[in-house]
Amino acid sequence: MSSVSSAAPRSATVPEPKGFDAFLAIAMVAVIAACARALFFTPIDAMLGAAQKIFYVHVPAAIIGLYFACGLLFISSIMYLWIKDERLDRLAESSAEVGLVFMGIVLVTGPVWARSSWGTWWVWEARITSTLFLWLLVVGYLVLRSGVESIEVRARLSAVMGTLAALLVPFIHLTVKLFRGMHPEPVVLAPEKPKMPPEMLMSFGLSMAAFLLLFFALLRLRFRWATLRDARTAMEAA
Amino acid sequence: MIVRVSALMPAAPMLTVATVQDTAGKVAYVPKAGGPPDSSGYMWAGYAITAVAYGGYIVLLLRRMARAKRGR
Repeated sequence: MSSVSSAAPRSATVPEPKGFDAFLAIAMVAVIAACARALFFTPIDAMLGAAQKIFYVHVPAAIIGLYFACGLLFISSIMYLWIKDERLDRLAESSAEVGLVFMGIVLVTGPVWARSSWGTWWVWEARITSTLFLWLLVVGYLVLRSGVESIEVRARLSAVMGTLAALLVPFIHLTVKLFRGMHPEPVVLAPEKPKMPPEMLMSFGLSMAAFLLLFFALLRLRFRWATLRDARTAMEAA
Repeated sequence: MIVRVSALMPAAPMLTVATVQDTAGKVAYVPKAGGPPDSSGYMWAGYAITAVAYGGYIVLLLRRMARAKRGR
């Protein structure tokens, strides 16, 4: 196992960033196309009306923010504690920040939909409250990172906190089974089969793919920026 | 008990009154007869918030990259 010096990260050369990010551009076009399909070419729900279409941005943001971003945060934090490679620390930091944006969108679009379908903006029930708690933990994770000077200490402390924060995700997943609440059980990933008509399922699948592309494009950009920042810091320190 | 028919008459037209959108009170809407509620305002609000959040974060990242490129 190798260790990381707190004064000089391994990446001594500064990577030159490109002016145009084609991956991000493709992801943005895909997201716009998926939203256009959801808004204009997907049937309106007979019970909930047009507000149900928030589903096509709310659920992909939830799946990506909780499972993909927090999953990456967990794996890269654990791996960092094991092999002490600062690229894993940057990956954890990047997935936490991008995941924070996705989870934030879940926490804001959810109440808009809830106001329309439940008649209230917010309910202090298990799924919603625990998601808010996870969001606050990830905010705390990023605040912790900005408050520690030493690169090695910062990486180690935040890896521990990132691991613990991500452990909340399985609990959030099970809240709709364990507790009574207003949040519905899974609709697409239902145990038997998806409880949606094919047109809605297709729109959801396209939204999911588009937002997944966007997640990885943002993650890649955030990771490149973190690499550049650390390399500049190392050069200035040298 | 004897109920006069005329006493029930004023209530009958009320059954067809509640067909308009009502977002001022505690309930989000009064369902329309024969169709889903008009909740398109909530839909647009949800999509606008999403666009602003993702767009804002993309702009933030691109500005960070541009600053890093200039060496600041």
